[in-house]
Amino acid sequence: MLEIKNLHAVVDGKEILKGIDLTIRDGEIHALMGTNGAGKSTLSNVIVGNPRYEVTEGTMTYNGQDLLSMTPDERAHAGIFMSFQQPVEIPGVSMANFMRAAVNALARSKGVNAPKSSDFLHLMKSRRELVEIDQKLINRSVNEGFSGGEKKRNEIFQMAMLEPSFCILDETDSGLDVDALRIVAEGFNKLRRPETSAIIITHYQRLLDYIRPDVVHVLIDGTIIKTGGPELAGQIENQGFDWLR
Amino acid sequence: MAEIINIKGGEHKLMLLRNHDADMEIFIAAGASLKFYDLVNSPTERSIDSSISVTIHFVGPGSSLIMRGRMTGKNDDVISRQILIDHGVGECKSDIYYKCVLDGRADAVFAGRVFVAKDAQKTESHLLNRNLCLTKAAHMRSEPLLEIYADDVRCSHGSSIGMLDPDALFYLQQRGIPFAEAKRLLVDAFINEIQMPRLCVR
Amino acid sequence: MEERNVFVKEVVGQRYKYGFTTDVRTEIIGKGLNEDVIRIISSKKGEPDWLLEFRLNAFRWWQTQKQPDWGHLHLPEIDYQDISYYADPTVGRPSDAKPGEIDPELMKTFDKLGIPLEERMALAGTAVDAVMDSVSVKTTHKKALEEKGIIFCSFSEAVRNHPDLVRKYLGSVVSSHDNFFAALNSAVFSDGSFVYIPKNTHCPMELSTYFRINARNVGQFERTLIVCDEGSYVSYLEGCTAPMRDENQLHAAIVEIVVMDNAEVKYSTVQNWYPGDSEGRGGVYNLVTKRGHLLGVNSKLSWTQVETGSAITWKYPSCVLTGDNSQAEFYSVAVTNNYQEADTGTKMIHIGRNTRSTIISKGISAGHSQNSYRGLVKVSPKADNARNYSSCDSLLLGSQCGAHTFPVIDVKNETATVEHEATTSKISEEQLFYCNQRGISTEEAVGLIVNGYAKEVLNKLPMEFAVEAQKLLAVTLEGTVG
Repeated sequence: MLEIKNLHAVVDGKEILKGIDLTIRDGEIHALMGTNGAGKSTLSNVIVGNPRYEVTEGTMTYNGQDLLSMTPDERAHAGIFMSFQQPVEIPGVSMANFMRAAVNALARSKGVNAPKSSDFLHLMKSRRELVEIDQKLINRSVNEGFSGGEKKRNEIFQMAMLEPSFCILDETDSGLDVDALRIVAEGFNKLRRPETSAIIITHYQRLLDYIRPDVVHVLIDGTIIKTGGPELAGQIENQGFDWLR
Repeated sequence: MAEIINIKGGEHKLMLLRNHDADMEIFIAAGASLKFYDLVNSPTERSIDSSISVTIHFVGPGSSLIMRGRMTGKNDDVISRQILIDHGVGECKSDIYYKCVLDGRADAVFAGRVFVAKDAQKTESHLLNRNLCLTKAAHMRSEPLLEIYADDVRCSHGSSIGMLDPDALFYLQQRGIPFAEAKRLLVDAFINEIQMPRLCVR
Repeated sequence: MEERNVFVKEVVGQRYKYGFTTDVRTEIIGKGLNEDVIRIISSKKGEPDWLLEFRLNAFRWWQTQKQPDWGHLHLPEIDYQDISYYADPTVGRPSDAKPGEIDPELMKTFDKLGIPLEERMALAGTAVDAVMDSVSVKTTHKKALEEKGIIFCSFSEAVRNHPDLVRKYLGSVVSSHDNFFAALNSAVFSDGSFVYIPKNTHCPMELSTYFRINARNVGQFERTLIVCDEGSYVSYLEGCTAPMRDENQLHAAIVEIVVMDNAEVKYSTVQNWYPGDSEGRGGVYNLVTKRGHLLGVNSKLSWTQVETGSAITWKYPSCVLTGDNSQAEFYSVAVTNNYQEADTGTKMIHIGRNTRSTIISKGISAGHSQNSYRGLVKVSPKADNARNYSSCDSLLLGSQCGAHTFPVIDVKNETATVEHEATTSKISEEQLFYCNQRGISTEEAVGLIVNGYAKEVLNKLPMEFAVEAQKLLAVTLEGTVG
């Protein structure tokens, strides 16, 4: 369970989050909608501990652990995964090496042995097929020369590899055509276990048609101004945000 | 003795139109911006010797420098540029671009050195020198140097020396443009990338 | 304080795993340098008169020269009279030993370094010449190579068995008056490797020389000469390590390579001399002249270097492209940490027509180190259609280090195309964070990203070397970020 209380955060000296309260129980899917610059991406970056964002007030725990005192890799080991809006390219580092490092680090944190090479390669193959990502992409450097859609699919592939318990999909649907969206969403649903929870940040209803949210929040100017059921997403898609202000 | 120029506040332009020796030292204060233009247009009837040494110091944060050089040399011209950009303080930007076309027996040296001091964080500096040699007897030497002691910087430099693209020359000829004119067109296209302001003589 | 020093040593010791010393009876001649010392070295090796003359000639010129100070380095005035110029660790061999039998201590040393010398244990696919201090200990796989007419032996042995070849090419690429350190080497060089690949021969295995400094206060002055005859190919590797000592050690080597018509040489180095401790004490002064002469038409030479060691590195593996259509490459990764200083790069001298050269340099600076790229691309008037492309990137890890780029491009031919690009930046926080979010620690992420950054160069190394070099990069940078 993720519990956020009165969270304030600053980026480049400017306050973006102005007191967020949010509780996400195991197994719940929460959609986060809102205007551009409202603080959606800031909130997700703060949850995963991006050092560019400074938390000035409030608390944040995941399964009772104090996230604010944990480094980004420790948070990842606790099961939190973010699908980045714009995944960075890391030239020269192959996807296989990158995933190997991540999978081994996760194993170390759990105090178990890292998988054998053959098992690892088998895992890569099965997860790759799950999100229908081409072997050629896996042979390339991390995100290098990937199209926008390929990058998003690659994020879901990494999620499949690391099997997180809490996922943040930060505009994973943007830049995807209909087929790619379906593949990504179905991939997510196949990976999802009963206790998996998630935050889905989106501007559109169409992703939420595939991944049904339990709760929808509207974030405007750094605070959550409305929380409702799945029907709220449809209302926003039809009417925009102005009626909520 | 170097001529000393102080640039304070606001936007400034400086244009060098001297085909002879000069030695100058420029200090750019906090928040000021300077556009520096350096033009060498070699006359056809005689040869020139244009050796200029310019040192530019950033002495306050938030200032910027744009430096553009456009040089053409022919006959027995000797052109030399010794440029030092001293990022002694952080949060300043410099952008230097020099182009040079050499004909005849012209001899040119471009030595541009960017120095970023230890605490000059958030410095951004880009230095580019592109040159075209039109004859065998022309000689070009380019030394773009970067000396960096701060880590949070974005610096780059580039340099090239080349000839006219034979494919482009041929393409123009195939369209009926005579060789000499085609050559002139391409040389102009090369050098015209560096635009000088209309007139602002100091 | 005492305790802390012990701790520091332990930590550094883990990082530099080659820092042990070998306890072996070593014959060391007295400190100091004069003509008599040179005569002693020459006579110990039983050299012919012409070689002694070559040495003395170099020495006389050297005495008129000053130690160069133009590098972006703090190289102290070295007291050349306070160094011993010859150390032989093979004298402890029992008098009844069979020829080719090696002192077990030396065997053990090279075993520990991962270079088994026993013929049946020797690395498959790689022939090794193992040199400790001033003497070659053993060359493996010699028989198999001899069957193909390939000569691969210690330099001393080449002087004895192939004097004509040595005399013809020694000093032909790097003259004994080339520079201060080259002259010093020419005067006192001790051992090294000699390679001759006969015409139309593809060398069937990698040739490798492993240099090890062991004795205290002894300079190492090795000399390598590689001649690749028409239509032939060889890939050569060089590795080096030294014990950890508080005082600095001098290493001034020369490598000469001659490449004939249609021949190709690949020369790779993983330089891991002891870099000094985390406070800048000790370490090797690595002052090296390496040059290849692309003498023949269509000849090819590529230098690949991974430089992680040495307190000071002064080294510019260069190419003279004389043969028409010859092609030269220089691929370099130089990593400096703590108080290391490196001034390294290349010279590409284009003389023949249609010659091509490529320079890819990746500098990584951390700690309080200074890392410089220095290069010269020169196109002479006759080098029609010469091409060069250079790319020099610098990565900064930490705010106390420096990264510098000093290229010179000098063109005297209008048909030349020369391009140079360089960038300097710090390691991307965005990339670090992306790795962190996937559960990879910052330290490991730095290793990954730096290896990715250097990939273009590491890919040029032979397979076994590349793996070793990757580990070395990560180890050298441990504890630099975060």
